[in-house]
Amino acid sequence: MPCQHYISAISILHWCRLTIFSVSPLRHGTISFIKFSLHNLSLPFLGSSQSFPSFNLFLSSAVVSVLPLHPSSLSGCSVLIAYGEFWSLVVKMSTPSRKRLMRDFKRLQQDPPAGISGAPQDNNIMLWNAVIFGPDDTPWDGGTFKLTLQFTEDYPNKPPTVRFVSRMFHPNIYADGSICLDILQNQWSPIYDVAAILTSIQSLLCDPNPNSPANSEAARMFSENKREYNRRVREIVEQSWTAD
Amino acid sequence: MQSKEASVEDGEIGPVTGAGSEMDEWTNFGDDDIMQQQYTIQAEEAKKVPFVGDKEALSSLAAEYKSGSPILLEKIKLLDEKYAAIRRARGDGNCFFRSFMFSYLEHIMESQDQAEIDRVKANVEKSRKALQTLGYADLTFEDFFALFLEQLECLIQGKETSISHEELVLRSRDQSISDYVVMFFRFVTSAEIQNRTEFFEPFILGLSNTTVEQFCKSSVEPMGEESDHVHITALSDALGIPIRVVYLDCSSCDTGGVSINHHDFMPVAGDLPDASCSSEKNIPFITLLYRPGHYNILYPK
Repeated sequence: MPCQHYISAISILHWCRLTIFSVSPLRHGTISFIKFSLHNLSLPFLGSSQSFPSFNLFLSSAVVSVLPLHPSSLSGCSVLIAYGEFWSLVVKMSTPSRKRLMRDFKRLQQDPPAGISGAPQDNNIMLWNAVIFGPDDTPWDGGTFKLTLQFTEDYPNKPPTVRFVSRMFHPNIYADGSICLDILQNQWSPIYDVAAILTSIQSLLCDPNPNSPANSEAARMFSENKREYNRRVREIVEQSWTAD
Repeated sequence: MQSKEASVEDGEIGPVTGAGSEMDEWTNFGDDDIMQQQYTIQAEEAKKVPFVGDKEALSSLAAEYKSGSPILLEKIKLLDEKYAAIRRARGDGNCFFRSFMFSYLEHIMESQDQAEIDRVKANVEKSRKALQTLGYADLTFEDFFALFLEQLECLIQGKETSISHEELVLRSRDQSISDYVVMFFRFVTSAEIQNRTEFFEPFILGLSNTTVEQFCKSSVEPMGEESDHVHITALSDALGIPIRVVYLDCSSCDTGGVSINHHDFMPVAGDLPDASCSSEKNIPFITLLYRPGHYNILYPK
C-alpha cells in the first residue's frame, strides 16, 4: 500500500478505543471520513458524525509527536493518537477493502435481500458470519444455514473465502463446507458485494449445477433419485435447527 | 486451510508420500486449492514481468523471434521503420486494459492536455450514470471511478499532487492502483456494451454465443478475462478515445508481399463532444501492438 500510517507517542494517562472504520487510506494525500463508532467513550470534541476537515484539525492539534511506521507493523492499520494529557486513542485506519466492507455492511442492513443476513464479527471486519434461510416452497424451506466469509485486503479485487459452517448436502458443496460457485472463483468481479454473494449462494441451493459436483453422492442422487435427494435435504434442514 | 495449502505444496513436489495418501490429497483438492494454486502461478509470473515494463527498443522484439517464422521477422523489420520502441504489459489477461491505461495516462502527462481531461471526465460521468441506470450499486464501482479520476488529476504538472513520469510508472506497477484502474476500464466497457445491446449483440454472438449481459458478467467484469475487439470498441466509444491496434501475426497477403495491418478503433462520432473540431484530433495517440493473445504498447517514431 502506498499509504502512510502514523503512530504518535505520548505518556498515556487513559486508554480508550476509538474505532474509525472509514478514514480511507492516505492514498496520496486524500482522506475521506465517513463514520466512526466509540467504545465506552464520549469525547466532547467529536459528535456522532464528524466531517473530515475538523477531524484533520483535531489530528494536527492533538498529535504530539508522530513517527512513521511501516504499514505491516500495524495489523489492521491502527493509529494511536494522543489528545493533550487526557486521551489516547486507537484509530483504525481503513484500507480500501475495509472501507468497502463497511459499505457492504451498510447496504446489507439498509436493504437486506429476503432470507439473508450477515454481519462482520465484533472486532474483525474481515471475518463475517452469515445466515441463509432455505427458500420457501422448496425442500430447503425452513432451514437456517450458517456461513463464514473470510475477506483479505485484496477484496473487492479478489473474492472472499466462503464456507458453510452448518452441515450441508448439496451437489456443489464440499464436505468441509466450501462452495463450488463460479463467481467465488474465476468469474469473480468487484460488482458483487456481500449481499450479492449471499443471494447467489441462496439461489444455488435450489438450482445446483450437476456438471461440477463437489459432493458426488448428492450430485448423483439429484439427477437419479430426486425423492431420496429431497429426503436427505430435509434431514439437513432439521439438523440446521439443532446445531449450535 | 493451512494444512490444505501445505498438502498442495507436497503434491507439487512429487509422489514422495505413498500412493494412498496422495489419492486422499487429490480428493481433498477443492476449489480453494485450485484458486490458491492459480494465485501462486500468478505470483510467479509477476516476478518475471511487471504489470507495465520499461520502454525497450524495438530490436528487443526481433531478438524474441530470432529463429522464428521468416514472415514475422520480415514484419518486424517493417515495424521498425515506423515505430521506435515497445513497452510490454504482463500477460495476465488484463494486458489490453493495462496497456491502454499506461498509454493514455502517459499521453496526458506528456501533452498536459487539460481539455482532454475535462472531455474524458464528462464521458466518465456518463458511464457512471449508465451503471446506475443498469442497476449497479454505487458502492461496487465508486472506488474504481474515484481512483481513476484521482490519477488523471495528478498528471497535470505544477500542482501539489503532481507526479513525475517515474512515479507514473511506479503506480502502474503498484497493484493497489493498477488493478483498480484496470477494473475501472472494465466497468466502463461493460456499461457501454450493455447500454448499446443491439449494436454489440451480433459481435458477442459471434464470439461466445451468450447473451450480452452474460458476456459482460463472464468476459468483461472479471479481472484477468482477455479482451477482444468487442472490449476495445466499447472502451474506445465510451471514453471517446481512438485506439490504433497494429497486428503482428504470421498472415501474409495473397500476392506474397508482407505488410503490417493495423486497425483504428474510432469512437462513434456522435458521442464525441468535440466531434465538430478538426479531424486531426481523432488520429489515435494510443498505439498497441497485438500478437495473438497479447497486447503491448508501441511508440511511433
